[in-house]
Amino acid sequence: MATKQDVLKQGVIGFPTALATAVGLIIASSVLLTATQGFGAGGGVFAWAILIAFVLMLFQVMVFSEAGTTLPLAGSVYDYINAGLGRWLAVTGTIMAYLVVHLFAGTAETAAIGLFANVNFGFMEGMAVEDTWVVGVGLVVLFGVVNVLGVELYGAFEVVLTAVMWATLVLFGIIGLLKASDVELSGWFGQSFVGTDLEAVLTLTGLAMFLFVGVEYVTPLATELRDASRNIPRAMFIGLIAVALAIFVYGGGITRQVSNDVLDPATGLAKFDTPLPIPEFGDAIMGTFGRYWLAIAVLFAGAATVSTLIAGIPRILYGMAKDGVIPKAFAYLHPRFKTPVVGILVAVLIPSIYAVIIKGDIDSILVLILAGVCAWLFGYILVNVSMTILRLRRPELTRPYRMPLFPLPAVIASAGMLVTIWYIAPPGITRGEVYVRFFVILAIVAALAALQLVFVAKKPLFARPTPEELAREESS
Amino acid sequence: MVAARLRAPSVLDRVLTDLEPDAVERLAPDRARCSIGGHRCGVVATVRSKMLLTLVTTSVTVDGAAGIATSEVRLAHRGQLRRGSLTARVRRGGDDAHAMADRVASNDGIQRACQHLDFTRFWLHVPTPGAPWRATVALMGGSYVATRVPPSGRYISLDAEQRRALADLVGALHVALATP
Repeated sequence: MATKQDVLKQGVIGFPTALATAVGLIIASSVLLTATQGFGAGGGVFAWAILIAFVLMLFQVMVFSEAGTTLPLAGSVYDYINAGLGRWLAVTGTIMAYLVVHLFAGTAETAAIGLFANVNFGFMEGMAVEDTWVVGVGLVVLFGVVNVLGVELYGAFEVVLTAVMWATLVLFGIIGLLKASDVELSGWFGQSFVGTDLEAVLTLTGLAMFLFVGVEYVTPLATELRDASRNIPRAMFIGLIAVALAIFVYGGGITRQVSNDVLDPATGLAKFDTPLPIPEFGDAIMGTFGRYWLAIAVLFAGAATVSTLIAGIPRILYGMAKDGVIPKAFAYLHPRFKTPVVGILVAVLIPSIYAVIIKGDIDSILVLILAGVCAWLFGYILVNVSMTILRLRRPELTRPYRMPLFPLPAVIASAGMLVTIWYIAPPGITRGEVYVRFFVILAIVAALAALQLVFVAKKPLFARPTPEELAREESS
Repeated sequence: MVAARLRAPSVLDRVLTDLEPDAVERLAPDRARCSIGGHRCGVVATVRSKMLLTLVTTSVTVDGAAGIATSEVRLAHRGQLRRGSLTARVRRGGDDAHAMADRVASNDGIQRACQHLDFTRFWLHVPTPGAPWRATVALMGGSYVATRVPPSGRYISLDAEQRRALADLVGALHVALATP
């Protein structure tokens, strides 16, 4: 029977919120762009790539479930890597997730918002593609101003809104599958234009991984989650299945209802290489109403991603400034609105500047997405290695969830991710384009992390704090 | 031998550790009572879930002497670059509310404490005639941010300066509003 102490120790976040955070924002512009382009280029081959990505993520979720329930700490990925591999790799892996994801994925979302608005809303059709950055940057600046003023958006509707987003995608997809189609389709998802061999599947797996990364988002909530040891694995597994189902249904629906016409014979540009299929899909499903429903949902989702970046990161930077880790300027609060304006400015500038530079070029956006995927997978591999080491060194630790058939999930997930990183570039993009961005940033971050640890924090690079020390550090 | 399960502190646990109160009574997973600056206070952790972001913030409530009439007063600093003086604006209520606002705004101890305390919201209210006044301060520190992009979380601590400023504010409020 639960004692009063047990009750008092229970968290304040329930399973619905945990599930909503695991499902996340699957209707985000960058996700839809990725899925649409993947199905357009690869057809049924992309479906196989999604299946591979799904299986890899299942194994990854097993590792994260063990990590999140064994080390229920707010530091999440940082603590998981630290416990097995030490501070240097933990700092490097976590900063890659902070800066690289914000820079790459945040920029991709900012740029993609403009591209989608350009095709979804009639009054913007006259805008040149290279000028669409104005919409995304405008939205980022708007959210920056809103955050400076201290206005809170969305309120407590996350669970409902996530459910609506997911249901929108599934509903449109199901109707698309059931409705009669004029498109001549080969198979459930159309033909592949990139080959049908194993290499073709693997080259699309990197794109497919982008649809699932971040499902571990629920793990930082461990300290506030009710019955975390049960709800963390449950939310991640169910979230993964929910995302996979929605994407498969969406892919099947859109390829049945929208033909992938060649728009430019000279370059081979096809419709599915652009955002154009989305409004056409909405039209095909529910006419003008469907077109605008989908357009608003996509805009809303993109805006939510941008809003999160601007709402969350400045407060984190405020905390780091208060701890003396970064300059004190980030701890400055506006006198009237009490908002961390310096951090908000940085959060606005980072995606905006890069979005202006790439000027709506979809290939550049995809390169950013793929570089972001490399950063994520790099972090995942570090977590897998670390959790394996921890299981071997500390087998006696209480593990409410134990990955089955240890160490197979960690080994399979890591091997699969290394293969994915090797085959990261789909046709039309070179491996070098992605690697240059990823490895240069990785080298810089690793060097800075080493310097900071050795000369500023004066801590050994590879010393591994025990899980008990990590828990005490969070308390102190 | 199986080691004991690791249990990391919740946000409320960490806030209560940061505050270094004299006495703590846990009432629920999200609220506690403790002594700050020698006065009994409530500490409440509130979860606000937004799209891709979960924010847990802390508010400190201070209950005082009985008020007279229903009142609500909001307090905020002036200034665009530097913190100016704290001003009190009556949102609800009549003469009693204005009197309460004047006493708070003119109290040097409250003004000094608020120059150093990072809060996002500060308001006073008397919910019903004769009920004790209650001050609620939503703190910037003592909060937790979990984001999906990037996927991580961080606790923003309440440092010693914030702790002292909060204790000073609690004491000054009791002085300013000692009698209705």
